[in-house]
Amino acid sequence: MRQNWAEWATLAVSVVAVVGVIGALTLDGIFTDAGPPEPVVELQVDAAYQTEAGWIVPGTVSNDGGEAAEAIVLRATASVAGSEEENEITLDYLPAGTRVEVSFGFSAEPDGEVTVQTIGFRLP
Amino acid sequence: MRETVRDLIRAAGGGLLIGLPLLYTMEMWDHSFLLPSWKIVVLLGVAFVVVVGFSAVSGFRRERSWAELLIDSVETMGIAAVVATVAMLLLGRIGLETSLRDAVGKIALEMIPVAFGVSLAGSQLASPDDDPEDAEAQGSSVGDGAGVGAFGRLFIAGGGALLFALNIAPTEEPLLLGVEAEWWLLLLVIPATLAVTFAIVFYADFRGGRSLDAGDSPLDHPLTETLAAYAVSLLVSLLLLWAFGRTDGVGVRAIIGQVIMLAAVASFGAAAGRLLVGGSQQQQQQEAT
Repeated sequence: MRQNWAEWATLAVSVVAVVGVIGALTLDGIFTDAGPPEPVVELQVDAAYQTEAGWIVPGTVSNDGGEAAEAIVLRATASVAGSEEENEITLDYLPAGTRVEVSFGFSAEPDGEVTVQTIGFRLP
Repeated sequence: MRETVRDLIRAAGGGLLIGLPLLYTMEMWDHSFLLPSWKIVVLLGVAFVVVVGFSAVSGFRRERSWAELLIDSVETMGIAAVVATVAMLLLGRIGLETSLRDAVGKIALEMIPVAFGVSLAGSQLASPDDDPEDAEAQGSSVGDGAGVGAFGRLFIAGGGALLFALNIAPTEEPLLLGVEAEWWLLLLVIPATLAVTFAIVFYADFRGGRSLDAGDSPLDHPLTETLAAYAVSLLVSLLLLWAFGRTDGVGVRAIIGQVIMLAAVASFGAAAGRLLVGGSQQQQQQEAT
């Protein structure tokens, strides 16, 4: 039935692929402790840049927890030219172990530190 | 050797033909990390059973042992996994920042529709003169389900229902339709679904359609078969809605609404599946008389 190396190769790749997918999921299901989502925000203040619309501070949000979070609202606060500025972004989804790139905008370069707070999220 | 390569390319083509709509569906990507691992494994298991059953019932290399059948089915899933992986990479759904679990989840979910396509490509979409030696064994693929009994046909109906409903189940529309529908609307959808599927299989003269003659088995009667296929469609719909988390924390009334609305789609798949394996028994009976 399996006459040539191409058929053997197909079979080998197939077995590896199927065992790999099912194995990875099963191991994950058994061993990963599905803790609650833990969004962690890291701002790259050094990489901030000026645009016509204002000052943009890029950063990343990662989820160190075991479960995905949905509709995560993050609020960044900073003092700009003496007055407090606040802005929010919403992420549709934040899967466990995945990193998402975000950016916060301010009217000008903030005077001090930019702090980011997790306002809330939904569990899927 | 060239034959094998051609088979592989046809398999990948068939997989994409059926799988593309879901490869481009956002809810499928999202459910890769929203669903718990065991649910995805259950879905893969169901898909594998359907693939095995489809290969067993359809007229593809019919003289096979169970071992050969299983090996072919594993290959079908494997090819589907490779196709799904390449597609997810090319579409930018899996990248360096994607976690392993997320990537595996996406591949696992997306390979299900692709596997159905690969499975179809192996039997129904193969050109009969593909290989002179195989041609005889394959017969005229469409409508050649010789030996498909009433249960085999119901199984194929379930596979078709799964294939069609899978395209809709991950989206939000069934939830919306089910929740918003009035009870009398749902009561109208049921006979409408039954009437349409009955007509498609037994009246509309599609290729593979059958006459109104009843067979020996109680399930081999147009009315009972239509009802049974609808019941299978309802079950498949419930399974899919549960799998995609559409029943979590949802009231019974909304679940029933969703199931009925999704089953309308599933029934079409069930009817298409039955057309595919065709009126083998009737034809045989006619040939015999």
